[in-house]
Amino acid sequence: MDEQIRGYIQTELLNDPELPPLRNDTSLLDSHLLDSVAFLDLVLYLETNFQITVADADLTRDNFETVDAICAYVRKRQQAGVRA
Amino acid sequence: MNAPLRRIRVPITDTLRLAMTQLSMATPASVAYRLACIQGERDYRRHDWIRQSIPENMATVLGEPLPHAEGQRIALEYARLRRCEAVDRLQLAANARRMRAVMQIRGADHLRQALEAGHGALLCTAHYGSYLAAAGRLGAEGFPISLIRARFQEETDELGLGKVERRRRKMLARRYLERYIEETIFTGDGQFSTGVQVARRLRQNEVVISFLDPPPQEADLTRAVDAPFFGHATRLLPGSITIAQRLGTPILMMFAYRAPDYAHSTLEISAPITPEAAPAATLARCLAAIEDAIRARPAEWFYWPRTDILQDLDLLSVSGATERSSPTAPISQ
Repeated sequence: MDEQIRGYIQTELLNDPELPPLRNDTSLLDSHLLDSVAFLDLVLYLETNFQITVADADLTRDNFETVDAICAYVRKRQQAGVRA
Repeated sequence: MNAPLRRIRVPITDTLRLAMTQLSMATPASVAYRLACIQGERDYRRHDWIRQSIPENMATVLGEPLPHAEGQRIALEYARLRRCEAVDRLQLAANARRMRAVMQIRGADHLRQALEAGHGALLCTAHYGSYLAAAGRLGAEGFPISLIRARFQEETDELGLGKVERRRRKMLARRYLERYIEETIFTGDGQFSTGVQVARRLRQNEVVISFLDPPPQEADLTRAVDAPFFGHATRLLPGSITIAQRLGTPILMMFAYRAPDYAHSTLEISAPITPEAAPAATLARCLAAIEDAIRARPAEWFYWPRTDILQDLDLLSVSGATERSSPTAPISQ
């Protein structure tokens, strides 16, 4: 999952060959790599590809700071979906 | 006031206020606005901060002397308008039909046409006139409105509000605002969340209302850009404009101002403004429109007595100039 998400961010959202490869612990927020619209694209990508719904209340730094955090959030949402 | 007396008096005052709110919602508009003007005149006589800070701050911000009589006329008008603004919210809290009768919308077609393109619409405004009732009024008209705003005092954990008063304010906000709009997008929860929510609403072809004149909160200062306002170099957040420009969303201006009879007001929506290449320059255009609206009807601007906010906006620096440093964008284009 992390490879898939990192790959999407790297190729579709960043799409800048000058940038060093994205790491799982790179802060997407502090580095200002992505703007709000790019983050929305990421949210839509997660919703489509991982069959989850991202509520506005979940749009927090904790959930979207890094690729690792995003993966943890997606897993949590998937598990919640399974339980429901 | 000693503590035991305060413990009794505060709930009684708050309960009376709650009863008055219910009564006010049932009062016919013509009477309610007349009473509001009388209350405003009383506020003006009773409060030094209205009589003094408004003319003083205006003179400093505008960088030009304000004749005493003119300053007092504007201060008195300000006091009346604030009370009438509260009545607007009560009218809307009562029902949308009553608000339709007292607030006409001019330029609604601009908004409809903007939405036809499918990229949403960004309505930029300021803390001007009945800015909250205007949002509710547009929602009541059927527009899908999301409002970007800071939390009201009753929505925070801040102390200072009694339980009854907190409940009264929440009940009012629910009735005059929340039931008419799709979503409230709070500022102060981190720019990340706010920005993504704005983008999401615009992508869903909704109308997002953004106030451009509040000073940035400390956490957002790094994102603020230089913004000319009344000839002063202030710093404001261009976030919503940046997102709108990225998405190709039309940007319009909106102002609600009161008619001379006090009982009626007009919500005016401009045609889409022509965006500049850089969002900061578009922000400057929008601020020029806000400045024009304030100069045309100075008593409508909520911030005149808010010395703390004007200081945060750097508008009270003595080096202020009156020359406009950005292009004028008329409200109606």
